[in-house]
This record gives sequence, C-alpha cells and structure tokens, in this order.
Amino acid sequence: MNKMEKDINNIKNKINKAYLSEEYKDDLKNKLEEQLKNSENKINSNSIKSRKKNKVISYTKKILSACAACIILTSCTFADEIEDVMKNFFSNTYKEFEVSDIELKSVDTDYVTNDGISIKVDAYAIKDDSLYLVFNVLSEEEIDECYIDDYVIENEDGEVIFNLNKKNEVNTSVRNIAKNENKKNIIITTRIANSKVNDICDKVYINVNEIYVRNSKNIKNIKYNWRFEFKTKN
Amino acid sequence: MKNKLNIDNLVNEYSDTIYSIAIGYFKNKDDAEDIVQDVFTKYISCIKSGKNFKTEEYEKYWIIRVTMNLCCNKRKESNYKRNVPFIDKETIGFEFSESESLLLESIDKLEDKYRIVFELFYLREFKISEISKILKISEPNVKTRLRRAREKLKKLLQQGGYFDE
Repeated sequence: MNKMEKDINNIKNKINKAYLSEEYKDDLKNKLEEQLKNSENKINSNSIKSRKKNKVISYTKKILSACAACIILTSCTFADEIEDVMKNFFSNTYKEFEVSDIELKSVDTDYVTNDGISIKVDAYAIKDDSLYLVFNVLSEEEIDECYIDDYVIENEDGEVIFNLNKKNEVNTSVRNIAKNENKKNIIITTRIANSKVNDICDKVYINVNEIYVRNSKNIKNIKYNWRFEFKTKN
Repeated sequence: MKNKLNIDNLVNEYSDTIYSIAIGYFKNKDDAEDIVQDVFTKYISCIKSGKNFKTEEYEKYWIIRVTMNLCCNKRKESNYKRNVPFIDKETIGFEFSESESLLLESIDKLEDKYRIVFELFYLREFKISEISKILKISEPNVKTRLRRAREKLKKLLQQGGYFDE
C-alpha cells in the first residue's frame, strides 16, 4: 500500500468515526421540534388572520382608490416633472458590463405572456462565480426600456440562490440592456455576482415577479409570475 | 414514504452522517454543527412545502447532496472567515499526522466539483453509480471528475513536497 493510500485510509477512518454528542442531538431535536411547531402554528394562524385581513383589505381598497384619484389629478398637472424623475430612475439603474468574452449557452424555454408582455430566458452562462442570464422581452406595444424589478432563482432543492428583491442579500446583480431596432423586443442581460449556482446545482428555477416597461407615452409596472426552468447540466 | 415528520428518527438516522461529511469539509466542530442544523432546517421546510421522498435511498442522497451544497455555499459566503486553525484538533477530538494534514490541505485546494467527487469516493466510499445519483450527473462524468481530481491532487502534493522522503 503506498503512502497516499495509507493516509487516505487513516483520514477516512478518523473522519467517519466523528459523531455528535448525545447532548447536542437532544438539543437539536428540541430546536427542530420547536421550529416544526412554529411553522404549523404559523399555517393555522395564517388561515384565521386571512379572514380578518379580508375586512382590512376592503377598507384599505376604499382609501387607496381615493388616494389614486388624487395621484391621477396630480400626475396630470405635473406630468413632465414626473417623467423626468422616472427617466433618471431608469438611467441610473443600469450598470453596464461586457458580455463579449462570455460563452453563453442557449436555453430552450417558451415565452410566458401576461398583460401584453412575453418573457423567456434565451441563454445563460456561469463564469467565475457569476451567473449570466439573458432575458428576451416581447411587448405588444412599442417600448423604449424595460427593467426586471423582482426575480428569485431557486435550485432543484427549493433553495433560494438569488433574490433580487431581498435587501440584505449578499449577492449583487447588474444589468445590461441591448436595444433592438424593433421596439417591441428587448434583450436584458443580467449578471449575478457571487452566485451560488455552482457545479453541483443541476437545475435552476427562475421566477420573474415584477417588470417595469417604459415608452414615450407611459410607464407600466406589471406584477405576475413568469416562471422558467432549465438544466445547467447536460 | 415518510408523511409524518419524526424529528427523533430523522436526527438519529442522519445527524452523524451529516456531521462527519461536514467535519471532513471544515475540520472544525462549530461549522460542522451549523451545517447539521441547516440541513435539517432545510429538510423540514422542504417537507412542509410538499416535497415527498419516494424512497429511503432518495432521501439519503438528497441529504448528502444538500450537505455538500451547504458546505460549499458556506465557504463561498462573503462573510465566511476561518478564525480557527485549518484542523481544529481541540474540537474535533482527533489528530492527523503531518503527511495526512498535508494531504487534507491539498484536497482542500481542489475546486469544489473535483473535491466533492473525490471525498465521496475515497472518504465516504460511495460507488460511482451512487455518486452519479447523489450529484445528479452521469457516471462517465463522475469518472472524468475523479480522474481529474486525482491528477490535480497529485500535482498539488508534488508541489507541497508530499512525496519527498
């Protein structure tokens, strides 16, 4: 038996004999039981709460509709100023990055359509711990710019590996918009730095939850669940 | 298979396996214990969200895959700092010889995709077919990774003077 085999055997024997103390196991069991109880209570209390919530929602709706009327009146009066603010918002949001040296792998997903907006994932790439995603957005109306405001990526085990809407998330995302001559089609490339999509992540599930589209006439905010899945391995 | 969640059975059945995998990865007790708790937390949330393990085997492979995933992710986290020695013999309760430590340090330098296959095959004694099911990759792919892991490890060991005696 050579030196390496001998060392591997010794390491294996030591590591495989590692065990948790009974105290720790008992403590862990208690913690998990509590966690399980809490999650069950949460489900029960949520169903009771939801009935109360419905009442609150109906009052809130009335108040909101009154507020909406005020906003519409204000918007008509200060339309130009608001447009400038939104333009600035869009122009500051996009940070450019180079995709020319990245080998993108095309993905076979279908368009998912809601409210005149169809989205699909065209391609992806994993490079240096970054995940690149290419979204293809089709619009029934002409659009100048669009911005995906909320998307969540999960792996096959339901683990959230990226959440754009979560403020304390350590991952960062930057986007790059390639405008098309055809104003009804826009390609959005996003880069998620420090992505957790590593080599043992087999499949990814992408949930796009909110999108902003802007053209010369208006700005629309559409909420829906555009869901895509694709394999990151052959 | 297991519709009713029995925490007692779950912890008794898998905690030591998860712990020993995590000890192999981090070589310190605190990180390994964190991983054990995280794996079970994930298991509970998966079961609560409707996941159903068809067989014991599938459940075991899922647990090993998630353990490996969590170990890799924990080390990749931007706030992860190793403030304990590479091998924390005080907490793990056993020691490694000088050459074993050198071997472990070299394994630690392998990329995750090679390291995981290497550890599952040599330290956990899983068969190629089992590793293929755990990692959800093809058997030829496992063999290729294993071969590359051996080659890379050999180079690292040569650089570290492991074979100089």
